[in-house]
Amino acid sequence: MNIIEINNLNKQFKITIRKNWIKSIFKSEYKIKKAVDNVSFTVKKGESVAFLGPNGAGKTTTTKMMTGLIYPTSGEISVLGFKPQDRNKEFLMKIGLVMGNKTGLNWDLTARQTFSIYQKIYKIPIEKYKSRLDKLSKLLNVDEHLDTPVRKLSLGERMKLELIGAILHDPEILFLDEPTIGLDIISKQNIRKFLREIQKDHGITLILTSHDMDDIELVCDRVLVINNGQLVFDNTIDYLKSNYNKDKYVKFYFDSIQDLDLNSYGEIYEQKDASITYKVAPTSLPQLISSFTSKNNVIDIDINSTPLEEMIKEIYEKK
Amino acid sequence: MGFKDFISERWQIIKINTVETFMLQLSSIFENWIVLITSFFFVIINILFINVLFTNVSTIATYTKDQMILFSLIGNLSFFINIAWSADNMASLIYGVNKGDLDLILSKPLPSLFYVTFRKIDIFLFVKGFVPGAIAYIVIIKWFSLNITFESCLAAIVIFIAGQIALNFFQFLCVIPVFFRGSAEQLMSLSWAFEYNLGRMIPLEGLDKFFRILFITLIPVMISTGLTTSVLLNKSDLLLSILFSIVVSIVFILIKILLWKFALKNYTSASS
Amino acid sequence: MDIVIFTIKRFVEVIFLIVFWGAVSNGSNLDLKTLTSYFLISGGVAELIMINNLPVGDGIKGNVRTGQLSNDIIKPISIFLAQYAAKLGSRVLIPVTSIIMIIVGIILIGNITLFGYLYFFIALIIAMFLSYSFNLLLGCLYLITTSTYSGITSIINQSIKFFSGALVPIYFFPDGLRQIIEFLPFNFMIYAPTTALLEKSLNNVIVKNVCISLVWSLVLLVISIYLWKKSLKKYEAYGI
Repeated sequence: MNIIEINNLNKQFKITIRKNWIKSIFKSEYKIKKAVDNVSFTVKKGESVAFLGPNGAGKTTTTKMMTGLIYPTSGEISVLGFKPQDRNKEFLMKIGLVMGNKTGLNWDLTARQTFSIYQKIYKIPIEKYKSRLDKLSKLLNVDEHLDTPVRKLSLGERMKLELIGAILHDPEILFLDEPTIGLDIISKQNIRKFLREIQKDHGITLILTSHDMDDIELVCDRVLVINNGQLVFDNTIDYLKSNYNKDKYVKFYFDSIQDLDLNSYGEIYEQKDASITYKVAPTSLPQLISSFTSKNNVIDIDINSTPLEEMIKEIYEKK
Repeated sequence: MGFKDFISERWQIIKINTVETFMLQLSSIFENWIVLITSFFFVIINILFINVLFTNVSTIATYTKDQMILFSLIGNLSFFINIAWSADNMASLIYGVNKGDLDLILSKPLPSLFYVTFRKIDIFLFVKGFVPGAIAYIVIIKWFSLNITFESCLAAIVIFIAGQIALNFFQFLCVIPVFFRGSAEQLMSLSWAFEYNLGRMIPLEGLDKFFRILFITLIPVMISTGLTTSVLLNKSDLLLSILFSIVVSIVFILIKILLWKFALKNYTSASS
Repeated sequence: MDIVIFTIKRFVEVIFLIVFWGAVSNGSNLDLKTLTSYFLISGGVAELIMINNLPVGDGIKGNVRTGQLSNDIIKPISIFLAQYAAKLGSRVLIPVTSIIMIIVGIILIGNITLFGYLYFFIALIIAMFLSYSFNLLLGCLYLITTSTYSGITSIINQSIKFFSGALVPIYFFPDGLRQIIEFLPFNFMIYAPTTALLEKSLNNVIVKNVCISLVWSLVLLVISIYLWKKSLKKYEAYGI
């Protein structure tokens, strides 16, 4: 069953351009930007979907339309059977939103104090609220920060608490807009693991916007790529991996290079002092390895499939 | 949603944002002392100012020296109560819209207008800012020379509350452009300029009839200061003033709700 | 648009001050025309020298809060001078409105001599130095306390306004208080330049005032720069 249905969605913004400062005192000039251009897709219950795209592609705008924060210019959106822009209370009770680098927690209070307001507004039974808060805060290692004023917490701690605040009420859909931005590796790993767990154990549908490929690979099953406001790819990660760019990336480690004509072996992807990486078709792999190792003192070899990044880059560049 | 739920949600918001803020504020000792000392000093300067004026004149807009000091006291009360519950929240709203933090309020089933209006109720700021100076005012005023009655006191309280609602609305008006243009700090400071230079410096009777009406209606900066003092001193009709204040507050609340709905409809939110 | 609003705000402040004095002078023997002229000129002067609401010093508070100051510290520039220049640059229209106010004030008084203009100009320069020092001192306060309570600027602004003659002309003060205030640096920022226009020729009082104001500007400049450097070090020591 589809819990999100989007048909021919469009969003345009009026952007002020300042050319002449004297004129701009009296009258502003505008240009129209098409942030979302005729986008259509559906999401089933329990899916974990990633929104990808270059900066300014329209991913966050689409997410905001799905949560009712922005009104579409035209097109239809249905989320959980509701029109998000109506901001129906029942609808808001069933969703959660987390935005990287933004905080909904009251800056002057502790997280626990803000959560007590959420308990009331989401009508979470008090015992369930306490046990859930306890469980979630221990899971994300922030139980000792629940009573610290939010302004005194680090970004990682704040984001984890934001995440808890967004799922305390057991939403059906969780929207995440760059949730791991600016976080250290361990925090990122914790959050990704946590998201996967809640998706599998509680059947929460995840809609994730991110630039971090590891976020996508480890948390999501399906990828939607938006570029210049248009949906250019909509399929599973497995499909992406098996149908896009099957090149191999071979990294040779050496202590000294004998051969000066490195370009003759193939396309160089990356070159450093003690290593060089070639991008090569799978059929040419054996020949590359044998010719390179015969002419150079190779210490080690890594062979990798195309990183997800490269596949996505290819999609961006296609349109 | 039932009426009980309606009240219970809002009460929870007010309770948390008041009591809890108070407890947290107690811990910032240094800042507390700065506020206390500077506010007290402000009052001393004010009292000096009035004394200097009255060495040259015997009345200002029919107000004697003690009546002017009372006006100053009420102006100070209005200022600190407004800062404690209104001005700061409106400034935060500007920030929230610009940075996109408002998204995280709007995506929750919170009564959004109520929440952003009462997000922070800093009673402690009011206590440390207003009380020390008020003691100085109270000690200096010759209360027996003032024509204050029990009825005028009650009327003044009602009008003062209406004035606060009006001030909040006026500040809210100055915030609305941020939903469309992305900047409103100058408008906020313009509203402050009106409130301070007019609301707290000039008694109601210091203005022509036209301006008196203007500054208690369209630019309602004098209700909780000038009109309140005038009523308290029995210089204005009590009943008329009470009725007027109640009507004006209801109208302002209704317009505020409509404006909020309109602003949200046009809200494009800051980019991530 | 912001500049327009800022200008309106400035006019609001001055107009209501004049209305207030209208109420004060009503029924007394005070001349409203002289008072209006005084407040127009003093209002213009206050804005020109940037003492009104101490914008540069107050700006430090905003920079501390946003952390922008940390970015500025690592640049090889004098932070405060840069802030000063930035404020000057961002308020392009202000000198225009200030000068208009001063001109209108001058027209209302009439009969200004060349000496008056010269003395006004000298007093204005000294006032700028004094204002710079006060802005610097306020900036120090924000650095040391890292407080973002905006009441600090308001109260200091109010005190300066009172003692400098921006709220009440100094000649209104009772004798004892007036004699003390005439020695303090505040009155040389507003009252002295404003009333300088009325002077017809050099006399002992003018020489005395210029000397006192020069000494104050030197002393305050040295102290404020020293305190600023110390405060900056303290701010850096606590971690940026």
